[in-house]
Amino acid sequence: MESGNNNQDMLEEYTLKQTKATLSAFVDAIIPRSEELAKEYGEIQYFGALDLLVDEYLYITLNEYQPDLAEATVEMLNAAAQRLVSRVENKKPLNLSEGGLFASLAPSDRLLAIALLKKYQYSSSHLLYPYENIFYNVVDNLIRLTMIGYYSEWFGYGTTRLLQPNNRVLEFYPLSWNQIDYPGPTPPRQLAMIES
Amino acid sequence: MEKDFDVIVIGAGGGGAVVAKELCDKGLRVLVLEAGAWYGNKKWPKPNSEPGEKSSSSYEDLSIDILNECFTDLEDDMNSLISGKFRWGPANRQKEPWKRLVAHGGFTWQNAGVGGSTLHYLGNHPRAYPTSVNQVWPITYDELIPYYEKVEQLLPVTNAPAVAKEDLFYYGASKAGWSQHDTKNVTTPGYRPQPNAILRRGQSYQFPGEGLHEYTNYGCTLRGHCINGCHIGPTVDSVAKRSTFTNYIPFALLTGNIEIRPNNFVIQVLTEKDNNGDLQAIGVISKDTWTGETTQLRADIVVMAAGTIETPRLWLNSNLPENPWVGRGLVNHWFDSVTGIFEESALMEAIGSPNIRPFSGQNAAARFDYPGWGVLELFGCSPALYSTLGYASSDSGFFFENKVGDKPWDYEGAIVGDLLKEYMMNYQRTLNIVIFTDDEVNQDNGVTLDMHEKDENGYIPIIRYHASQKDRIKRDNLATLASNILRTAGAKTIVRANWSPDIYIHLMSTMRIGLVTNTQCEALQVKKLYIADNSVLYNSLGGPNPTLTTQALATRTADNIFDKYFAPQA
Repeated sequence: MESGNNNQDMLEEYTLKQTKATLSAFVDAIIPRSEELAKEYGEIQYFGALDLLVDEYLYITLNEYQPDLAEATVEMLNAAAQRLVSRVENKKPLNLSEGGLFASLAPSDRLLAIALLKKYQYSSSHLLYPYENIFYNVVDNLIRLTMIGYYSEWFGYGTTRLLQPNNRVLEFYPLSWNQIDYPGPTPPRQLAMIES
Repeated sequence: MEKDFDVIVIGAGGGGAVVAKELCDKGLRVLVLEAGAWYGNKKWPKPNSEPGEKSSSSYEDLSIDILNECFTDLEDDMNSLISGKFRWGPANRQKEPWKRLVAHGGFTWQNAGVGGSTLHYLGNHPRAYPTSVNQVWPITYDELIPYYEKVEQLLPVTNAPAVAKEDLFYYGASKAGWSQHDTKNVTTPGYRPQPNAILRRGQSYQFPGEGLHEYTNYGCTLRGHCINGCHIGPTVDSVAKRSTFTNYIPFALLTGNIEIRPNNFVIQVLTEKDNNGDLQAIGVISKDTWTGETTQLRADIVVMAAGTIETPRLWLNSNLPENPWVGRGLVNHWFDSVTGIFEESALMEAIGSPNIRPFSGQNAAARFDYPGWGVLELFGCSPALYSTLGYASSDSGFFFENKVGDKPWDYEGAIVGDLLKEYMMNYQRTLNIVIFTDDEVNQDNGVTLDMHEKDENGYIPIIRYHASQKDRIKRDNLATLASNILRTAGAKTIVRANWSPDIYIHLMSTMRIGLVTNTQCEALQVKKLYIADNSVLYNSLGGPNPTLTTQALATRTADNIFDKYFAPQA
């Protein structure tokens, strides 16, 4: 643990296609890439959560201390997608892939699946599992984490972003701050040099 | 067994630091045991990665350089609930946070560490509403006033300065027909600058050491990082935001009568029967959070100030006597958030500036008090927390699921997708108002133990809270009031979040005065055991932020302890 690189190890395990595809699909639905906004307000507004690797943030935060929480989240999102589809409440066609059912939904339908999950998470043990005994309000926490991952400094840790928190150093200010015209802390934080 | 100290205080937060300092002033020898880290002390140069030393008793140990290294202004680094420096968890960030079960999900936003939740707090110190104390509490408002005044002077409490966001809030409130309060004892609706404990530039203040420590270059620079941990000042004891680690702790260190041990989680209160057969506290068992080593310590008096969740948890884990109000009666001001988005032209007309810049100025520098309903508090900060508070948390699901009809806001629910990005593009022109509801005490709400699950500190707490129908009505009224102020100020779009009741920030009243303790804050069933944190508050104060009232009571409790057990007999 002292080397502080176990997040890196965790991420290497993060090759399970479905986990990556599902968490990516989740953050993409919450903070999408936006062609419309780019056209209207400038190119920088195109970029979204996938560009700032917020799926990685979600993954390492969920798994930081409780291994398998990310996988459990993925199972739950897929269960919610299954329920949406079986009720024929998805509005757009599926784009079926190896990434699993949630990732196969159109972004707007993913939000409907998340809404369904939120509505039923306390009345359906199937949807609640495996969160029964942990301290997360599933849906709101996933949304909060996505926004924290995107609008905080995290992406700016650059090459150190996957290290243990004590070992991360800020290399640049994240692009999301430019999108919203946030100048960052004043006076500016000293940025770390990237070792070549 | 010989006593080690006159008094042991459990917790160095908003209440514990106060009772400790006041007792040190009276010449008593005090030990403070704090579960979390100590930021800004030479004994712990790397508080989150190395165990450091065991204790500190000297003012000379304080170090602003170490504080500057620890408090980075960065939101994930400081405020992540999982691994942030301000979390409910051990100093060692390689370890997981301490576990709590919150029924229906949710989370408690509290900090372990010297300073406790005043590490991240916004420095606000309003008094309770007199109407929520008189004929309700077992003591009167008048009894609190001298203690309010003493704390207000020491912190010190002053009226917060205004920048753009406050100017806009006052503009809206005034134009909507409300008047400004000019009193600390609020009985009617109205707005006012926040009474807060953030030193202004050039504000004269008597720092600890009576003339020994004269500083020139201190005070708030309005840079907007209250919530991420203030470190602005030439020394720890002159840092602008007056968390207890900047005032009560340094004052106590200067008496030479205190020892503070961070990284010490108290897992049991020890008791025995006295000569009359009455139960009395005689000490504690404390656990080192780095090594797991336990220590038994004895004192004449034990003060519980571990916070609204941990104080009852510790009582229950110590098998202290049953009492139907231990852990019961939890209130939390059932927060909500209303956000207004403005166009440049409206802002030019209202405040003569095209932007609000919510990240600039103090985080919560203006308020609207409405006795009978609760509080509106203006809020602005750095963007990650800002986006989650305004747009990520809702009891109503997503915005597209709700028809708002004739309600005075435009959207209700969590904002996501392109709309979230569009609203955050307008971050510079956004004004947020947070709502604190005057929520009712209900004996079903509170803290119990999960008898199936322990962590290293004992059975873990389960937290339950349901709002009442009355609470709901008050909160809806406040959301309408906030929307009207925003609309009158010129807001183009208004979003009401409608927070779930499971986000716990102002936790209070799980060990209520008069029910768990007597009116002196000594436990009814255990002599020599006192309570000095938010848990001892009788109710939600009508809505005002709890810290000042807890500190006033803690000051009074120190007097009570001394008078009963240590004052020379006449």
